[in-house]
Amino acid sequence: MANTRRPRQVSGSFITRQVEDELLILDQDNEKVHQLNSTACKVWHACDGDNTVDRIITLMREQFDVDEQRLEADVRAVLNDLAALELIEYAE
Amino acid sequence: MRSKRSQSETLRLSVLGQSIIFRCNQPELIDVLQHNYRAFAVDPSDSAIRLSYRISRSSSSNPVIGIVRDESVYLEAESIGEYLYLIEKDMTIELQKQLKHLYFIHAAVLAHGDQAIIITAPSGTGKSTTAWALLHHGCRYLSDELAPIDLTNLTVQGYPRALGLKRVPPVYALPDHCLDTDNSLHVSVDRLPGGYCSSAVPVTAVFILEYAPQLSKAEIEPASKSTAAAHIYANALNALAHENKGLEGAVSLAMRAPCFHLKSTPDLAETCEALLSVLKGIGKN
Repeated sequence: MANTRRPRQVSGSFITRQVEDELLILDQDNEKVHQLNSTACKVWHACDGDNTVDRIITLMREQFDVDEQRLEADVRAVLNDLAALELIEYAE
Repeated sequence: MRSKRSQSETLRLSVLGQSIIFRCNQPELIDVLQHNYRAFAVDPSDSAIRLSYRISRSSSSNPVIGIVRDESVYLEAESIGEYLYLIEKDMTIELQKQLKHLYFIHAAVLAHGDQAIIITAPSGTGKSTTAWALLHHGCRYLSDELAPIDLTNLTVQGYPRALGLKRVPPVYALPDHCLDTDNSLHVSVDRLPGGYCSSAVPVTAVFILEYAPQLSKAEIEPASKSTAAAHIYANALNALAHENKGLEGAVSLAMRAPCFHLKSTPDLAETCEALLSVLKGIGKN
């Protein structure tokens, strides 16, 4: 089933800093630092409110040479984690 | 080391270059501070006093100790342990306000030769116990609590207050005359086996400490720069005084100093030797 939901970065007071291939996100509202690995970092950047979940999976498929089902599951897991951390939300 | 105590029960210290004065109506309360802050030399008499504390207790049998800082902030302690805790907390917060160019981390700091190692971890993980053990393995003491780092030249200043332990360590017996308060043991710097250092020492490595009693041997693995930066930031004390709310300082330190995960075990001697072995390897590179 197509997933047309469009995740976007929460418009919080974030400070981001790329450190080698990972990303640190300082969430000033919650006084936490989140550390995203390179895959999560790419997913996070793709969450612009325009890309659907399916589109993000396609974008990741273009960048990673891995099993399709595995990749799809990984992207969904990352999106779930980002949502749980209140770093992304879904556009209405 | 120099210290000065007048007949009017006044103690003057210089901490990180800041002049601090304590006045007290009870000699034993000054003695406690003298024990804890023995390493901090007295200021020249003409230097401006940055912090002033007035301490009072109605009698030695009265447990309540009043602490007034700069005639404006009033604190009250009900035990010697709390008295030391409040003085330490207030003083270090005020120092952080006045020394905004330094990046303060909650960490233990030791020097091996001219190499400073920073050991960072949440409270209760064993920073002070590890520091106490390392002092028996050729290290000098800079701090068990506070790492004031100058990021411009990557040095760390010594903050050698008395080493504070929450309990008697399993090995390396404590010396006589430790100050035993209700919640901790304080070893004065003149009783530390490895000696101490008040000056700045180049930072050579950062260790992220985790106590792992289930392990038979200490484990030390390189930490990724982002992991190290996240840990450093989590232990930063004056992050908001710095660029990008302090994130940049944490990244800067992590990028410039080798960082490691250190899983320590109850075998403190083996943990120390493992750490020093890694340090020796850095020195060769």
